[in-house]
Amino acid sequence: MKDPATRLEISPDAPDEAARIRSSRIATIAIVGAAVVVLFLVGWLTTPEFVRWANLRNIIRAAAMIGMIALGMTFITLSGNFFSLSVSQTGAFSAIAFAYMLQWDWPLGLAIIAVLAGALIVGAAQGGLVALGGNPIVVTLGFGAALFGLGSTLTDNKTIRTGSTAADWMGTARPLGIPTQTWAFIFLAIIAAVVLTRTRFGRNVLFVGGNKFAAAASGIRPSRVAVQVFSISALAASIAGIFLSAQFSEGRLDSFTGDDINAIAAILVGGAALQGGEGSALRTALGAVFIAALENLMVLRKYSFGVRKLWVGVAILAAVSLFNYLRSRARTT
Amino acid sequence: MTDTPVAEAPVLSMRGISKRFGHIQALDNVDFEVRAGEVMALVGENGAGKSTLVKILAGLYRADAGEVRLNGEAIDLGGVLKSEHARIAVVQQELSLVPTLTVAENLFLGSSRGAAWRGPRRVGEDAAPFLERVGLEDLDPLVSIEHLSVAERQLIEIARLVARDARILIFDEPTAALSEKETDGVKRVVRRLRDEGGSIIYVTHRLDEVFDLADRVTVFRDGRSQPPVATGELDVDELIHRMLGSRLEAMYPPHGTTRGEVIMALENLRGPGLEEAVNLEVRRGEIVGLAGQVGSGVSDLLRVVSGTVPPFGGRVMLDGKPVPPYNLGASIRMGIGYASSDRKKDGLFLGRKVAENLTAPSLHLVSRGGWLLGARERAMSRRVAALFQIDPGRLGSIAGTLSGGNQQKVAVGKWLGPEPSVLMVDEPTRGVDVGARAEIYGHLRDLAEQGMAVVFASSDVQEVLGLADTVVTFFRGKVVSVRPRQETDTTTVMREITHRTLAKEAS
Amino acid sequence: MRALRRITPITWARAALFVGVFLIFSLAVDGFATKNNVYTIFEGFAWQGLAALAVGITIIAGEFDLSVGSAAAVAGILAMKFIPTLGLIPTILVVGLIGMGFGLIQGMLIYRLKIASLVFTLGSLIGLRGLAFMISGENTVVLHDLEVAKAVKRQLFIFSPFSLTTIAIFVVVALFFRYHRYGREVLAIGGGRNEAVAAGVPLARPLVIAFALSGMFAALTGALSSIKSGSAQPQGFEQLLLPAVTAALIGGVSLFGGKGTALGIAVGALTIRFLNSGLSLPGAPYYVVTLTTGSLLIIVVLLELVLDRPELRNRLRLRRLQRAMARELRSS
Repeated sequence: MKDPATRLEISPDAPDEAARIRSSRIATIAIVGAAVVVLFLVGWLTTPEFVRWANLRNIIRAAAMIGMIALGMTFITLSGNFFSLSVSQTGAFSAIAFAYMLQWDWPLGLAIIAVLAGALIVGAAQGGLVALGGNPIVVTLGFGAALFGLGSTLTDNKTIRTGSTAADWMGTARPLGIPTQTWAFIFLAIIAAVVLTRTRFGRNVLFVGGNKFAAAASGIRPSRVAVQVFSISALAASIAGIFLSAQFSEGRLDSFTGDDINAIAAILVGGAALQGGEGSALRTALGAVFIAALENLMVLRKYSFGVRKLWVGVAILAAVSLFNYLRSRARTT
Repeated sequence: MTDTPVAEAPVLSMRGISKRFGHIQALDNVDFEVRAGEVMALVGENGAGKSTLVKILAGLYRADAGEVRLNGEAIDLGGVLKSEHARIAVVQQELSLVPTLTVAENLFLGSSRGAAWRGPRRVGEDAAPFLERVGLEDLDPLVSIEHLSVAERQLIEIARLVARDARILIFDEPTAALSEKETDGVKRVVRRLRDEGGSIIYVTHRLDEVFDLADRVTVFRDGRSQPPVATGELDVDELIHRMLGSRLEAMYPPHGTTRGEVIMALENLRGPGLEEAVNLEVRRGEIVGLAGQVGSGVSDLLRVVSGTVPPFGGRVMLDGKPVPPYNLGASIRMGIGYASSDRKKDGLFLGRKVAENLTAPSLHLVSRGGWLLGARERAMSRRVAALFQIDPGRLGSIAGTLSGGNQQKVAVGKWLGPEPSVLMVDEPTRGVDVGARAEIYGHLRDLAEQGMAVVFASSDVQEVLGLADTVVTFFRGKVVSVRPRQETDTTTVMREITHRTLAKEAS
Repeated sequence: MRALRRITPITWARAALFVGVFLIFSLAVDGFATKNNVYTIFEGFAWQGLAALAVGITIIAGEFDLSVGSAAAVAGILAMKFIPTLGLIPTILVVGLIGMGFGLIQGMLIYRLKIASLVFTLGSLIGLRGLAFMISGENTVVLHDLEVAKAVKRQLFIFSPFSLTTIAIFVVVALFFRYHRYGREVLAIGGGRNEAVAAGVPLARPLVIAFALSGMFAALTGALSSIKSGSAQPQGFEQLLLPAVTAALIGGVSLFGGKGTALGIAVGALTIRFLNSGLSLPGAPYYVVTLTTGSLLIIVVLLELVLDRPELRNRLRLRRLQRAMARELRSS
């Protein structure tokens, strides 16, 4: 039965609103960018070591690792599947697998492809379970633990040295003075941004996250998208793992401990909506820089481990509350 | 009709009620009353104000003017609690039963009566008398709701309100989704509650139920009320006349003349919500209007044809080729566009730009090898926007900021991107104001003139007759008649979609 | 018995798993089915079961509390600090109340700010961990009075005061959910959030209750466990979430909310402890247990999706039907 209140118009188009919405989109990026700038300013003013070139390189390197993982996970978040708790184990497992393959004298290219293929399969499996209706948090929690257990069993909880210099250039080269990992991070950020904005797949991801039913009604298959985004996330974590392994010439199970949380923090601080459909690769990348810089600054200022963790938690809650508020204000019709 | 004498003074009396939404007067100086031990039917076309009145009684809206008296005393119905306190209860259309709880637990859900500590068996025993009163005495109160039919759930909703000791019960389209036998069950409960002295307000489109069940009937039309009449003093045609009056609708474009060959044929199509196989032919340039109330099968038919739900049997032929069932992607690519009635749920991406919404079903046409071609996308969104006269300046706006009418234009218009041969729309002007409605009708007629076949479903009789070339009427999941517009009129359509006996005659 | 008829096949499967795992390990592993080992199993159940209960309650309410591990760590450290001044019982009570208070605030903020519990508890997971490091001075905090530790773990047949406390808590929670209206409200908001609110259930109350209980039980997990072992580490309980969630799911808690019982969670937690004991008794390292638990979680999730959800089975059946019809059409 139709209620006249729904059948008949209540509010006309809101011209000012449109401008406000557009500006709120810009506002989100501006806020994240501003936060990074402010952080760097604060660092510069209070802690001289912060802005030294060597330190900035450390920040970027840390941001690169977190960022690569976060960029991959961004696809999961944007599609409305929250996050993945298996990324750090995927990265660590990839690092170990890569180290093993180098140990066995596999050609570099083959090793990389094999590790990436394995990650793809693991990611697709998780995506498949989620496509069937599984809760993404629980599914990835289980896979992460299984990967950790498997990795520990295979390595007997030891560190695996690559014993080869084949991959050293990946880990330590500095084309144009910038470490390879950073190049990879920048590259991945660009690719992710392009995929999300300029490809059909990227549009599908944003649609599924924005409104799963409308996406299905437009002929998009949310279950296929689920498999795809979880595969991407695993791939990205795997790439980070390969780089880490190359850099230190070894693979360790605890290589990425805590980085899953850092990646999630980067995504949330970057303003992505947890329920999906809103967010961008660029913002996640900025978020990763912010988290890395924040951690770095706090270490330089001799904040204890506990205090640093506390501040990261506060940063997440503050960011999420702020973006929630902005979104609800902008959405009032 | 009851034999027991009914008290003359009304239990609930509403006088001079007015309610405005923006520039729409939903209720204009309306009077309404109901007595103890009586079933008062409330009828009227969509938009007549019935729903608004119900919401005011439930405490969800506050009237702008007028007074409400309960047993002679003026009361204030602002707020759900006050309405509960007045022992007014509404049986919802969207059920409020939690699927993981038992019958008894659902029955007492949300009520703060009784002891807090009460074991499930005791709760089951407490529930038994109320279940008995709604005719569910054989139902095990400890069974989970998941296993119950829609009708049984409806009865439990009623039992819940009885348990809360409501004296004025409002039924809002209670039998829309029910079979005939199940409807009888609901009617038995209504009669019993009435005989026990309760006041029942029965809002319905099913006029046969009005005469079967109600003592008196109040007709609403265009936000105004008519004095209540005893049901024994009218017949169906008189009632329909009072509901519709004689209105001139100037908003419909002139009917079309071009008619081409058959573009889509439904052959023995069966599916959920359809009691019988449907056979229908749609021609190029033709606008087919499916008239039917909620639960009549019109929406279900569109869902099956579009590929949203799988059919039980039969097939859809498009331009002589069979359409793969239950495959939205294939249907879209073959040339069927379908806009559902609930655009907020699955018709729009409210958080994304209008331009992106407009190209959503056409991504395969504006991309090559997975790559979105910006120029092509922009061109398509501009073209589609022009077809429905959507302001091109708003293409960059977020869809959620548009008015209802413009949102509907986007939700329907986007289907023109893939240039379908058949466009299907469920409730084309739901939530749309008068001005935008005329626009949408004009656009649909233009599309038909250019050779597209348009099939739309609507519960608004005027809309069907105003826009369609061919009128198909539905009642309870069955097609009642298929007629050219000239061979039917409002009264006939209204009878066919609301009156059981006519459906029986037709079959 | 009418009750028996209502037991679904998947409940039988869970019971079978419980009994089966016990039997297999009794036969395969020496010393598994002895009084002392069962005591050890119950000691493990005492803390892991409480954690499973904490996580299970929020899942039943349709939410998720990721912060249980960090909360347990903080509680453990607090317990170590309070015992010298307050003594055993008051310490346990105080820490439990602090946990409940924290959970209450968490629930209220989630309700008011309308932030998804997933995100909020992620924040508290990090923040509380930081707090744990701060109040412990980044060091392990040790209990000097070992008599207290011994008192808590004193072996009484196969139980101890610790495990008996946990069992008592389980019983109280079971009674609460079965008999009390507020308990039913928690099940309601998990099984049908919108429907429950439409029926008139005030959302704040069951939501806050769920998080308050979760906080309290997480705190008790940390406190009792640390007292028993005589020390509390700030990085402790980092892996608490995995076995807790697995136990809850094995025990019949549905990830879709609204389904689950305290008894089921207890059975699930004991099953996990059987697994743990059966693997570590012959000397398998801890990561083998992690591997098994993780794999078990995946399997349980898959089983619930395929067996317990009629919609999924219907959808798969419909896809088959659709493909058959498409084939039929092509041939005609």
